[in-house]
Amino acid sequence: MKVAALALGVFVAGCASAAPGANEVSAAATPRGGTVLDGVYTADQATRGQQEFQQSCASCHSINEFAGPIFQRIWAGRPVGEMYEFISTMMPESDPGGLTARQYADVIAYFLRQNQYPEGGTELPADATALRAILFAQPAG
Amino acid sequence: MTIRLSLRAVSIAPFLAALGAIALASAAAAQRLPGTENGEWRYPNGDAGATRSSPLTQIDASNFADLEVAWTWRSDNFNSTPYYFFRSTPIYVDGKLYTLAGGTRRQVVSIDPATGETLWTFREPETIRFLRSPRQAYGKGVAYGEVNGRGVIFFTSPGFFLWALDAETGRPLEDWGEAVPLEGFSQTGVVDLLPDLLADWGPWQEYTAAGGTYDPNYGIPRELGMITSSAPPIVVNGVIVVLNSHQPAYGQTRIENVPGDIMGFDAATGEFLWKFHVIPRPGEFGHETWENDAWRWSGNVGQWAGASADPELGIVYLVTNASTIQSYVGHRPGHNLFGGSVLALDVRTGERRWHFQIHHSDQWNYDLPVPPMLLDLNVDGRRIPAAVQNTKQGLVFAFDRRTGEPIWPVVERPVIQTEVPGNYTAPTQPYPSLPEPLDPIILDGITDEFVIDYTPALKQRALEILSDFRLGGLYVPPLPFDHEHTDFINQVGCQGGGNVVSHPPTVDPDTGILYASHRRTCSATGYLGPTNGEDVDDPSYATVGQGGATPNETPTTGRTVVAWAPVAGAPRLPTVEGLTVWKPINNHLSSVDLNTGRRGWSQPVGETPDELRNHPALGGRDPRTGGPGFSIQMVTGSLLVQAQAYSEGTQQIRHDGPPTLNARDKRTGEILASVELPAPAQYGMMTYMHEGKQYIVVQVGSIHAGHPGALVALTLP
Repeated sequence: MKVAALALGVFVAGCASAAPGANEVSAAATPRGGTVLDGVYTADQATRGQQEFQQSCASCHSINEFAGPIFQRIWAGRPVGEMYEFISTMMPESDPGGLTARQYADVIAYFLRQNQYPEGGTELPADATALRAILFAQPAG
Repeated sequence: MTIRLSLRAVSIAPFLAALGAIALASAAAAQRLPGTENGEWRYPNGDAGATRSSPLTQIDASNFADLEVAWTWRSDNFNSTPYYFFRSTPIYVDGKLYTLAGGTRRQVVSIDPATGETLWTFREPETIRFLRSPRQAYGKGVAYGEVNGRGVIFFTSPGFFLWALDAETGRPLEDWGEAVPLEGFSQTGVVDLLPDLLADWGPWQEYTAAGGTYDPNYGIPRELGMITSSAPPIVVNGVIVVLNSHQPAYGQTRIENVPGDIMGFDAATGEFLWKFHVIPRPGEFGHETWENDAWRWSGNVGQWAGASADPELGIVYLVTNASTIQSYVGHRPGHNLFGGSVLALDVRTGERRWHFQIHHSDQWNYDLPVPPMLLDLNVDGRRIPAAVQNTKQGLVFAFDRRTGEPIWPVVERPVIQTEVPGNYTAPTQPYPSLPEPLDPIILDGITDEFVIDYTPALKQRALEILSDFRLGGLYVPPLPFDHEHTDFINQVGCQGGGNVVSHPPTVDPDTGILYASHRRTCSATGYLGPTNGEDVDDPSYATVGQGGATPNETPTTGRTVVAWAPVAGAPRLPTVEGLTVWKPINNHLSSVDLNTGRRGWSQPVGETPDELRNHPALGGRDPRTGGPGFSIQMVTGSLLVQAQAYSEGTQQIRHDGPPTLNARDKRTGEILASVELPAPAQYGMMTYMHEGKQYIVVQVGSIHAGHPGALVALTLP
């Protein structure tokens, strides 16, 4: 496969997109590093993300696109920030950047829970720089 | 009750009133199908031909800016929480309005057309099958018919019951239908649609043969399937034609479901009359298009977009969705008739008069979003009763509605083939030679003329990016996640129409002109990955109290997990300095002369986004892309009435300016006059003449404006 910058590309043809819009700028968070195996989101955050997914994403996307062994294989070693940067600038397709930074982070926390990555005591930060320091990994076991 | 809000009226060029009054010379003398005579709007789409047009002329360009809000009908209290969508376009019959309250409960309401007063409401008792429905909030309206001289409102519920209500009182019709053995249900005025649907379906027969029984509260066992409804039925020549819908194919993970067979019932009695198999059985036309015996277990092929009809021909016209599972269809190879098709059925017998498959073996979520629009055209001196089909793709098809013969040749063009092991793609897809598509990019994708050229350097960079991709048009299939191409990293497809019925087109029967909203979208396809028989599910689903399902959060039906499914992470199409590599069209309203098949004018709807208009590479030029959302519209005697719509599917879009209702010149698309709306428009609008006054009713609502779904009626002072 030709090497290129990868991102969250799921083409749902019937769900058309618009031009990218401005994203909300969040307060900076301290990069914490590590991987998604280190408990990088909370249960409450994932639940909020699930609700947001249902409201803003489910008209075009199935949660099955963001969970499972193939998803984990594709994303292994890639930064969570890459996913964040894509969905926070390109999604929802008809209102790119339309959610708050926290809502985008919450949706990613929902994805992490669906992949059975462990919950932790602090929330996934709503900050692209901090999220770039957290890598996807194959789940333990 | 008359509420008059202060509206900021924008009066533009009242002198154009005279022009508006001058008949836009009729290429073919108007011959409207019934529904809008005497100021009525008898069908959710206006007339039986679903043209979304009315000949009314009291509101014209000279007085449009004087429109005031006569009343607002709000749906807040018809749901447990405020609901910000209003998908149902009212009908106006015999001096009253009828519609569905926006929201999940799908309550039927009758409204006083002069005051907005609620005259009566009807609510179906709750059932588990209602709670299981992924289409609770998607009701698109009601149907009207007459039984023994009495007006009757017909509607289908998310639980898949057919109701007949007295139009005067809202009470279930007496001596009609069959009693439903459930607590709280009326013993008359209702038909449980499931038994007739299931009676001759193989998986159901096997289920009952094995000792399974029918539970009218739960409906179809989940391992067999799930069916619901969103579009209203249509009443034609004394027959109620019932449409249906399912969980969308893009949210499904298992290959089995119940087919969305179309059924006819006697409007006078509720008696079952006929059924049309949308997935043909052995011996039926099109059966051979289901290889691998897939007709046995495949389902869906519903009709959520509604229907139109020509009562004189005795034909009902419908459009269908794809079959079970989007993106990977290796379990159902073949063209899959009658998926993705226009169907013309004999309303008396349910027999197929003709069909045309708009796309073979749909795996792109291209389900047809609006019913065929019926009007007479004048083509090269020939008068042709036509059926015109708009699509999500941006293609427009035109047929002789008597025979299904395309008015202009339709060409089968080769398309990119799937590389996913075991998958199927049709080798060719149909492209009409005319009418021209709404956006020419869909024919061959991002060819040179569509690459951004704001500066030579930008174009060069865009071309370099595109050289990493294989480019196609409408029918580009996803690659397998582990593909080994070295000459490109992914594939790019383009679409030039729109999405769901939130922005229906309209045609002017007087002139044969189509007005349609469209948006250009080019994106890299996603990947497919093997599922290894696993999917995400919610085993506690569908117990009482767990309502509010959304299309993709409804656990899928069936037993067998599809072999391959979409998985996030494919290479996307990069931008250049924040610009798409293709010239954007965000929101345009365009006309097509259906008499010649040629595109006419195209106007942006809304303003070009600031980040694009102010981009230094554009040097101050405005690419006139239009703003967010889509456009909704209808035709009146002298105007194209239009509003920018900010709703799509379950999403709502932030509005970028004061929401307005606009009177546009039919010949140029220019705005002649505008009035401000109290909230952004969505989904549709209608007009009627009541006690000598013309009203325009617009569906509005916005979560971003804090305005729950509502109807706003405007009229002259």
